[in-house]
Amino acid sequence: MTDAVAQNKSSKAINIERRESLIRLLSNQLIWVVLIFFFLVISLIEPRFLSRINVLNILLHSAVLGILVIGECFCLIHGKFDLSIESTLGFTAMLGAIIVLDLGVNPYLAIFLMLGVGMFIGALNAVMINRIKIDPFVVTLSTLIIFRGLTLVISSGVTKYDFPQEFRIFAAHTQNGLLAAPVIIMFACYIIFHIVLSSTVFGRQIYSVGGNEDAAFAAGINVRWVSSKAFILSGFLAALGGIVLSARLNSAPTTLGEGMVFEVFAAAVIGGVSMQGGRGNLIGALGGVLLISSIDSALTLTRVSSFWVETSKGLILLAAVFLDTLKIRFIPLLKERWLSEG
Amino acid sequence: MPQPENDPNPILLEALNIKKAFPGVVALDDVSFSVKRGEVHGLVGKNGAGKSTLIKIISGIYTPDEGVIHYNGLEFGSISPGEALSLGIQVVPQEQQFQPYLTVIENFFVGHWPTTKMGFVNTKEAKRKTKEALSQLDIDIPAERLVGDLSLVQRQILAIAKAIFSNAKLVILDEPTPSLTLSEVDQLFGYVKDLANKGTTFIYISHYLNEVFEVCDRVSILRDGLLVNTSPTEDLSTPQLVEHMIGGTVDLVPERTSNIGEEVLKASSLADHGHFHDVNLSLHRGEIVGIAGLLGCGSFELAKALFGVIPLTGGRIKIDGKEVHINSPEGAINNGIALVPEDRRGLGVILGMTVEENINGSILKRLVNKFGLLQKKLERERASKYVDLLGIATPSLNQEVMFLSGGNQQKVVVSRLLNTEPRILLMLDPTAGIDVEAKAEIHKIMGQLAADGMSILFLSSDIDEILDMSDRILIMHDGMIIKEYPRQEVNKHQIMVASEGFPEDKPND
Repeated sequence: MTDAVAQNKSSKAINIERRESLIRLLSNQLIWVVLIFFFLVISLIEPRFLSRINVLNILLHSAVLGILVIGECFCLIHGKFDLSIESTLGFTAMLGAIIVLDLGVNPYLAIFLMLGVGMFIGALNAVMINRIKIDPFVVTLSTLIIFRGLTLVISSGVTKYDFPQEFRIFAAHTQNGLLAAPVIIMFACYIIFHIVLSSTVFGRQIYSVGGNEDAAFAAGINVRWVSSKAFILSGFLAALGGIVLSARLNSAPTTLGEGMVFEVFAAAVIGGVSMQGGRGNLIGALGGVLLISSIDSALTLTRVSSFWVETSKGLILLAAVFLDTLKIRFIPLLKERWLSEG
Repeated sequence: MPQPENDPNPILLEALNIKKAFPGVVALDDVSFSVKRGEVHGLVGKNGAGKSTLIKIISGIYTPDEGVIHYNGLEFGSISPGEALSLGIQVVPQEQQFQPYLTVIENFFVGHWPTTKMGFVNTKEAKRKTKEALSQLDIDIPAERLVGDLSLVQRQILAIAKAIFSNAKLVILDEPTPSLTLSEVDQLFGYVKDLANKGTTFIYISHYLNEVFEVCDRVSILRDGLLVNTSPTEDLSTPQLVEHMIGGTVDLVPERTSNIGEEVLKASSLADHGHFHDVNLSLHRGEIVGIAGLLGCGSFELAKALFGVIPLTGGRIKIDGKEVHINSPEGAINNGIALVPEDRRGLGVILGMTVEENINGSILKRLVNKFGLLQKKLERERASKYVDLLGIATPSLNQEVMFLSGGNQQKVVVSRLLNTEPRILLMLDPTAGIDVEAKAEIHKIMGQLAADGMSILFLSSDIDEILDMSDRILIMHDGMIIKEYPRQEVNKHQIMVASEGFPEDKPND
């Protein structure tokens, strides 16, 4: 190959790489484009949508959902999923409420205990999935039901309320509402776990296991341990979500978190996290979270019937999965075409 | 070559002046290709030479830009998939499309069950027809057996039988042998020749040139979209064939002088659950040891046990005289052992990840800074080092591995393993399914590594490769190493005989 040809080829390669990374960026972060578009359209219809108080409200409503989505992303990207998070959230919140309110345990200690129990539930899922090799769907569906049931058992079905101040710090906010603890916790989690996922060995292993579990194992990755860590993290974050949510409500009803898992999945998938594993990132997922919360807010502000709220979320989820499938099939085809172009 | 009496035309299929271009690339340029009735016609060429495009045009998946196709006296500008089926043109793909949990009968009739007058499935009729078809074709496979319980060669034969059962006149075999053992390949070839004698026509695609010579009557060679030669196989030699394929010569056996040093690995009385037992093995610095054996002889499991994928139930492994316990790939890598798996796409690479990510996949822990964050610069350096070293053809380090050719994917696997800085390299069928040039390159890399002091244990279903590359050859049969030959002191026939487990054939002991 002459130098000129080599030069030509490499510049073509660079060109393709540029085009590809642009398309990838666009398709991976498409959610942010959608989000901005959504904000523009809604604010034209209903100017109050962009008011400070409403935006802060959207963020506040995003917080718990956002925290749960992080754990779910770790599970989804490594090729499995966790349905049990909403029950973990409800159970740990109820457990914390009981030991603080009824047993008089120190609230700080209680917080550690709650996070510990969350991790324990995650570990329970992990053992059944990775040691005994039961399908994640069955395992986490079972724990979803079991821990919702146990929440009723330990509380005798009674809502606990009125937490001590140490506990409610998780929902504290400044007078003007600009700084709210749940939002700060959420963003802090996103920063930390984005770095974990994108720049640590554990993060890369998550993608490897999701990309091809057998190859990851043959490459010397301890697949079971990586997967278990993801479930434990998911349990931990669910418990953290439980603390924040119960603090915000200043109560722990037995139904706390019920139905959230669907929004968690929707947000992750809308944010570009693939249900087939190996693809997605937390920045996109955060976009998904914000979009879901914004839709809630927009439909409420524009006085659309709440029945339509659920329907629209379902439709958006379907659209997101459709885009994901399209992406998986379409980008390789497009690239093959570029590569074959003289 | 027998012909049906009522049709004097010996040519079954003739594709004339076929041209097919894709955006930016001419896949086939003025290709004229003809197949005679009842012949086995080989089609060879490197990856990307146009073989699959030609096959897809013949079987109706692609429409040619120019050219005509004559088939059985009819003329077509292009063939539709439906027409191809009704004309009796069928492709038997590399991976069989059988349903493993259904019986042979059910697989034969998937999609077109015979029904009774009431509209129920007529199982009796299906069974009768299937048995009739199998016995007509002299196939000794029980019709009630689940396809998942059949051996690979039985499935391959079944696929051909199914094609003929649904009236195929021209059967296209696309790389049928990579997962078959030698005796199974013989069995398949016997069957193909037999059917050809009875009038079925075959197009046979393979990277294994010795197979082409063994089973094909004529061979057509494609190179860069051009048909460069069609000859009877007896008029061609292997070097000539290779020269046509690559437009030059290639040396499959690299020049190398063995420089064998001290013992690196010593394994004694190794055993696992049912695949192998009483295996004693030693491997020296700079030595290449080849293991030959039939499928199921336990050699793959042995290598995987050395790499910690399959648990050992007995025996000890010493590296440099020190006993080691290996119970996971991670442990093996830490002990300087690396394994090139037989299933490249399934076990070797992560297709959706980039070249760089794949190459560094096994050593991530060595690439972090003190905060536990991966250092992009180090990753890049490592990856580009191996891309240069092994000559991986990729437009960039950020290219997903799925876009590379088989040979280049294999080089990515080897890169990832070399990146762990192993001293012992286990290779399972390292050149299966890659073209002749890439094969020569892999051989060259093996030679270089050994020269630099690597100990290589490799398994191959290609006996020529074992003979060409090994310093020492071990024969495995039924879970045991039954023979050991130094290089040059054994021939192909002896290896084949020994692999079948006949210990009396011992010329050198």
